[in-house]
Amino acid sequence: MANNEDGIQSQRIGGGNQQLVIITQLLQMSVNMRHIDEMFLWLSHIIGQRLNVDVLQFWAYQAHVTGQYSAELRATASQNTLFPLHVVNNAQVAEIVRDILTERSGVNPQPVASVFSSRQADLLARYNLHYWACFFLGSGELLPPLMSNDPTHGAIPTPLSMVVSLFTQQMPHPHLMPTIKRIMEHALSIAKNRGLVSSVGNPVSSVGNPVSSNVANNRAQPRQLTFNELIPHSLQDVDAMQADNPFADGVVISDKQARRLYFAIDGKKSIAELADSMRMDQQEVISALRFLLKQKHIRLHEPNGKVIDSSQFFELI
Amino acid sequence: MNISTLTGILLFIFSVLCLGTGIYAFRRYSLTQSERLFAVGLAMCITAVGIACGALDNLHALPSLNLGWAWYTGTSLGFFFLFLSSIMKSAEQFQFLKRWGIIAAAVLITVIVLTPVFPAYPNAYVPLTLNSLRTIACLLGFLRYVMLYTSKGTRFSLLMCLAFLFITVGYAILMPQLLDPTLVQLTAVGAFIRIIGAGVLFTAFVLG
Repeated sequence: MANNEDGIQSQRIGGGNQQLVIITQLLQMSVNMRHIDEMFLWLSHIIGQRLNVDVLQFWAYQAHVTGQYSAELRATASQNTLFPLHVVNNAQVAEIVRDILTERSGVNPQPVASVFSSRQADLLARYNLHYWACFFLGSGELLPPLMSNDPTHGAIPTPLSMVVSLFTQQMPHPHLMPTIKRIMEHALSIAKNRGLVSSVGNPVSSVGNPVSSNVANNRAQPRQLTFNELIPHSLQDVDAMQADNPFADGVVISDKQARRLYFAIDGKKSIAELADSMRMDQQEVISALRFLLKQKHIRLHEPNGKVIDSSQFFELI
Repeated sequence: MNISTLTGILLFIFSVLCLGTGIYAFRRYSLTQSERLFAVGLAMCITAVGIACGALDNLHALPSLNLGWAWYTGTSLGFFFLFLSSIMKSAEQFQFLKRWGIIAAAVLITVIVLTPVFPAYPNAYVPLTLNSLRTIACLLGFLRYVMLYTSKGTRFSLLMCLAFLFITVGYAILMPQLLDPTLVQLTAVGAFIRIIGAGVLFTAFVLG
């Protein structure tokens, strides 16, 4: 196992920087993600690597059409590729996690022997996993069923209740859990902007999606473009602008939010990325885009470069 | 009227033209909030202040102070930032330039404030090196606008190219005089050429 004193030191020194690095990478990677489980899997690997966590698991409550709930394992990652996952992905651990999901609480880092049965604790100790901790994450967003689920299982989008479970060789640094929690909170915010999770009530309109998307059945149908993936382009040619008089071609935009957004548009960032970088919420972004489109300062493109009709945008929001 | 006084007056006119362009840029910035205009305005104001120090130095208005340091600093930084504003593309890059422009302005103010403690040039190579720096900054601007003119062919890029050419020549022509102070006429000739450059620069921004 890779966790060692140097690992603890790296957690202590680099926690804030690692958080920033992970979130920055996630913003780039999430553009191509089609399901929340892809994000969870990526996060579990990157957090394990960068913050030196031996094994990381994401568990979530899963509701079924029958009204029953179960604790589903959404993603697991181990720093040791040869580590047999059945050591941690088993009924014993699932039972503990289910209790924690019900209580909506967390567990501070402690020896595995004080949490699990002696048999499970021995098994974990054999693979140098001596400590365990977890924390709970909850929000109003709906988590779609597992990517790998057969629709006939009866799993339905469920209000997000998650437990992040960590196994480590040594006692984790006190900053580790809060750091991972902050990363997960940011990640869920990005997931919401990307349409990977949706709001309760109206999964389609709450994502503000002018091109229809079907979050709950995204495995049954090919995933369609979401509003947040569209890329605004300025109608001014940036290269030509450098050769033009800045006094003559200054665009006067009366709306302050629209002006801020306009100057942030670079023809590469999507609407979600612009909203993140400008710290604007969905409503502000839509309002600013509507203003800029009506004034004919920008147009919207799909990620593949194809221009979309602005009138379609106005009809759908 | 001696050469030094004439040079001082010409520099003063140069300074006023640059300051006027800078103020105009800030006025347009207040309407458009374009970071590019802020960068241009700040660059021109830094240049104007630097040139004004040079004018005072040539007019011997403050004979105990060596305002040459502020002159070289202001003109080097100002023209360099004007060149940089022509290569920036995105809003983030212009914000980055804006921050560094403000730092450059602070550096110039610091140099001006510390002028009383600055020594005289120890030898001719110091002002020669300082003059070379601003000549290179202007040369970069000239080359950049040549590239823009050949690729885009706009009137603005042509005028800026000519402006930087005149200003570059106007500074380069001072080199022999810095090594041989008897060639004092070159200071007036250089100042005159730079005035033409400033006029073309002003024309570019107003009419380009």
